[in-house]
Amino acid sequence: MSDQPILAEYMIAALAAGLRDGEWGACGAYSEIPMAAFMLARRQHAPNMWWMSGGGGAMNPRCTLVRSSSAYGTLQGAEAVFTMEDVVDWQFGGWRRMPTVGLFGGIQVDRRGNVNMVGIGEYPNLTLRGPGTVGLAFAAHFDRSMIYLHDHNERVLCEQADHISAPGHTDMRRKHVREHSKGPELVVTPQAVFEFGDDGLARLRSVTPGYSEADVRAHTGYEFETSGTVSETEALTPEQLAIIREEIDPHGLLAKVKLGTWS
Amino acid sequence: MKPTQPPAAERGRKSKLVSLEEAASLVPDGASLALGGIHAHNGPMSIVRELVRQGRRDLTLIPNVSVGMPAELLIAADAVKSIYASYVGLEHQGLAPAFRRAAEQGTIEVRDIDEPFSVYSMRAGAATLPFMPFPFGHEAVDVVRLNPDDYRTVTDPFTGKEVVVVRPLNPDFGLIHVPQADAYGNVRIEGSVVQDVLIAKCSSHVIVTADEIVPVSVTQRDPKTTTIVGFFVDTVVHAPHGAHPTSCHGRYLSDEEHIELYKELGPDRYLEEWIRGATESEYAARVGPSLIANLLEGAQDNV
Repeated sequence: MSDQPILAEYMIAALAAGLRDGEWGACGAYSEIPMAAFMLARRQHAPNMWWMSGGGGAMNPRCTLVRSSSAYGTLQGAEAVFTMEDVVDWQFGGWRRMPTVGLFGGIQVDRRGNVNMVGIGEYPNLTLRGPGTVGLAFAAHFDRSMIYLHDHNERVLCEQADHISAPGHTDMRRKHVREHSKGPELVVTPQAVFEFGDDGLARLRSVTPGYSEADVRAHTGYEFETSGTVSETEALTPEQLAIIREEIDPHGLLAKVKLGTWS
Repeated sequence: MKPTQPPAAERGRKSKLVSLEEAASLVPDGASLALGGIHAHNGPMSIVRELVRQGRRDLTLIPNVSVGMPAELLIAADAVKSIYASYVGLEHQGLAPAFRRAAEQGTIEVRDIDEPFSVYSMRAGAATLPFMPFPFGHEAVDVVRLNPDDYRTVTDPFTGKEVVVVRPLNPDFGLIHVPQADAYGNVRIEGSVVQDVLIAKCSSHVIVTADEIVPVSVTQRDPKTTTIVGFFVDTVVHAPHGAHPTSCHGRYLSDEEHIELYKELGPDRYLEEWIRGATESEYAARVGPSLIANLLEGAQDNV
């Protein structure tokens, strides 16, 4: 296999680098990329991180990568299994005990990091009915969150999300959300990594090798500043590639995750 | 270890076992149904198919936090009037086509909720609480404003602050598929419980379909592993492979190819070819014992 990372691997490494030792993390459905990020971070810089494969509730899964985050495989070799009651209680109140981080995506993510899973258009007469809000509301309760997207285009990365399932850096957050919860820190797409400035707006941090800042502007639905000089998203080390390809994903499932390529 | 009680102690005790057809016929048009499992796992599919065959109408669905095929098939069959939707979709296999079509055309009512609503409304229902409060901060989420019928605010008597609360829910029927049950309704779940126990607690009538029915002596040998106690369960059905095409944790994997087939055929054609035109045993025969055996093997292989 090529020593060049595939797009999914760039995303995994960017998310993993954002995870911290000693915190508690969760991902939800359609989560091959964040699951692999948790696995990579625990093997590298965050051995004391706890993470939950959402839905099925497996804590610290040790399986090889699976496509469904609630597959039976996630339970085998895990350390405990949460019920959905455990999940909700902990995701509301766990921040009292340790730092919490949520990883999720959506059908729209706007420049303030608001994420929409309800649908596109005026409610209730949506022109595209999304699957629903699920656990995104925990973005108002987790200490922080990171957003990942399978497609980077101007419809998904929009000026203003039609509905707010996970609150970004908004007046509503400032008015209502408890102080510990700081909101989204990163937006990781196949082509770019954004972070948020003090003004709460997304700023371009890095671009995946093979793409340019101009490409990213052309495919993003809002204007953005950059964080200093935009760098190339860091390539994975040989060690990271070996961990992902030999230990985390020996069956090659990451290659089946459909990511937008702009071609 | 020997059973703690001899079989004679069970004399006169009523079995809750009925046929799939009888169990489905207990559910009237217009009933509200909780659906167990999550995503493509542990779905009560055999009774869902039987409700479709019996032509049930005007149901209100109160599914688990992330529902796929169980809700999708009932919506495809025009059996649904309303759904409490935290997530309705097919995870990495895409959006749920019948749900999307019905929601966008307005032929079903979608009550947008979220994961904590799903759990706390059921917990309130189980304990007959008048409502359940959420921690501060939820006001920043749109669902509270999109669904003012189910989310309200009250003044917290301790702090004087406004607090979001949700209504209690007591579904008329809870439908749960499990790997193992005995005739008295004691259930052993071998994988993720998700909110199946909660559904059993809050529903007014609980129907359990089980891949395997065991004598109560098997339950009695290790009561610590009973996941749902029998008195929460009203009706038990022996439904081998009854979760197909979703998985039954510990027994067989989800049949992703079959779910792809559903998407390819489309809801209407799939229902005619696979459900309305076939009894449950014909469905099982058509799915094929060899396929299920492969899935079983996969489950043991930790794929």
